[in-house]
Amino acid sequence: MIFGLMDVLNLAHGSFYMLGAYVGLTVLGVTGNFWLALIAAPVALCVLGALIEVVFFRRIYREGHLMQVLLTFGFTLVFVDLIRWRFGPQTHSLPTPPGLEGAVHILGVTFASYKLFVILFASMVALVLLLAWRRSRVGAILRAGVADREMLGLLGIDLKRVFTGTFAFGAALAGLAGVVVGPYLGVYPGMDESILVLVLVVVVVGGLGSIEGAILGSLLIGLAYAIGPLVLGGFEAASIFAVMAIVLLVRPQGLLGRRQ
Amino acid sequence: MPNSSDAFLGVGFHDALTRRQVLQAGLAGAATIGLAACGQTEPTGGGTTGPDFKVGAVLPSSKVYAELGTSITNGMKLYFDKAGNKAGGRKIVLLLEDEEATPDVALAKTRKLVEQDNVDMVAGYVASPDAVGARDYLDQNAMPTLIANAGANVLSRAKKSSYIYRTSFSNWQPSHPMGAYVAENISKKVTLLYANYAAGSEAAAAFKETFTGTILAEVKPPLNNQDYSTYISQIRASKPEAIYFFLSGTDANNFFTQAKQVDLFANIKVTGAGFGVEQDVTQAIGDKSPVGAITGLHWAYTLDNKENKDFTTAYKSKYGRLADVFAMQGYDTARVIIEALNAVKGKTDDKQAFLKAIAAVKFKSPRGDFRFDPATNNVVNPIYIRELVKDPSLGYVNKVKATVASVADPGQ
Repeated sequence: MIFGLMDVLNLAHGSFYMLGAYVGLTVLGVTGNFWLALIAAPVALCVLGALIEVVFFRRIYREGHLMQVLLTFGFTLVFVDLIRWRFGPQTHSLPTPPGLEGAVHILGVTFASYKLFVILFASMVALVLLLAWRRSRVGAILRAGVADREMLGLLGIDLKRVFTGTFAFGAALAGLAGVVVGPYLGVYPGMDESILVLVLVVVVVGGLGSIEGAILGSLLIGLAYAIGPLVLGGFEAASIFAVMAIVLLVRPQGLLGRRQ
Repeated sequence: MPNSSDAFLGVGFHDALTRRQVLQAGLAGAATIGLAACGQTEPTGGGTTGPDFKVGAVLPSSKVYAELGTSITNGMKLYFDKAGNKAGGRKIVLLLEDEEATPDVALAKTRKLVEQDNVDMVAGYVASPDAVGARDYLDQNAMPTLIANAGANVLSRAKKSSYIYRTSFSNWQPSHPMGAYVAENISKKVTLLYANYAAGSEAAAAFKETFTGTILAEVKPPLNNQDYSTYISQIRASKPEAIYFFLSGTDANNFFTQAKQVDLFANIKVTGAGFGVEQDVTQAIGDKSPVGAITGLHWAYTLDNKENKDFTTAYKSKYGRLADVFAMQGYDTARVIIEALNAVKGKTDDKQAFLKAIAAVKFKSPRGDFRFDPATNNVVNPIYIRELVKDPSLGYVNKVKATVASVADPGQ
């Protein structure tokens, strides 16, 4: 969304995800409450995202993608070193929240309850996003922004506020994701890089500036990621990028992207 | 986490110190050479009269292996400090460069140490591709080198060098005795699970050399994998009685956490190469650690010998955390340097004599008897078969169940 609406290539999005996980880790360390951590991380990242947008990004919207890549790449380096300085290089793990530790058997297949929770939670977030995007006033403004930014400004909408809000919201979502995967994937400096490529692939496959596209893209890439090793054995990475290559060949704008 | 960040800060601080020391040492060294020219000094065992002995350490302090690099660095410093930072009448200066986990960076840092800092010796290399990448340069420049971790078999075989000695292990060593042990004592129906890169496949191949049972499946997730659900289903589908794994770092964290969440080990026994259940992993995942896992490695925290007790106690009091196998390797690497320097009384101008002294180094290490194999220049390791237990005071540690003495890489 940040990429689609604001035309900002934000490589630091992975860092927001990592920072969210570490905020979660800290809150969990102090309070021992997973749900509190789940709230604190997006709030903290929302504030940080807004700050970064106002102080840095506002100045470089007109400078083009290269400048944005340089700036946000710089942010990734700064954040990862800050994390390493404060928390050390080792891997931490968020404890699985109570009640979600065991496994569930459905039709003879075993699922980790926490994973089911993640699937449910993610579907809910996606549903809320989709409804807000399609039905609410904010969603309408954002969709209008994707379609024609100048026109939206002429209609009397404060673009600056929309941009700050979008950016902060995107950061908050990334922070939320960091906490959600914590009990599952671990928390360590470098987790930002590991997710960033996947996220960019999802966005490109789904199409820029479309929530539906992002959801569809993530489902498709997730399936490729899970089935790839079974079918192609040893070509897991290739299966994801093969999907991306095919989509780009058939629909260069992404599955649900608008035509340029 | 005040302890770990202190330890990390300590590295940076020490860096600054060593740089200043090098400047001072340069002046002092020049003065000493002047004096020596007048024939007024004789190197003696007690003070430091010779020029500084510079050790260039290429170890990761960032990227995926940062934690291993920090452990090795800590281990080296611990032993150098213990020896008073001098040997054979020469003061030892440690110069650190960040290996990252990138072969071209590691090579560039190696060249910088050799060509700009004029180090007398190089040590380090956590990642095998980095060590293999720097190997030709070190060999061509006749630079005495100690590899402190990188396990690629090839470094003791086709690519061995008369200048490069390895103080850590070859990937073959921990897994080779495990094949026979698992077949005889655990199960004859095993599924292999290993990260799909050189170290993983070398470990799996070594295991298969001595394993007399049936391998039901080989599950090969890529290195730095995140989600293991597909691989866990593959393991389940093969219906093994036990798995043999080679995973380390975040891979081991992710796999064991996710396996525990679906109770994979309810009736599947866990065996593997010991790196995946060392302190870095068990401290991160806590109660998701696979208690009861039987693993092979050239060390265990609980090894009952005097050197190991001294080492683990000193490490805990200096760095505030439990030592791991990587710290032990750093500790031994530093000791090889000290012993070899003492043996030649600090005279390293005769490079062949110095290399001979390195080859001849023998001592009681925390891991047991330490010596190099003259055929491969690789360390001869005792391999301990260990069980992961939850100790009331230490937390998750490995206890030794059986020992296979003197495991030497076959060299081909």
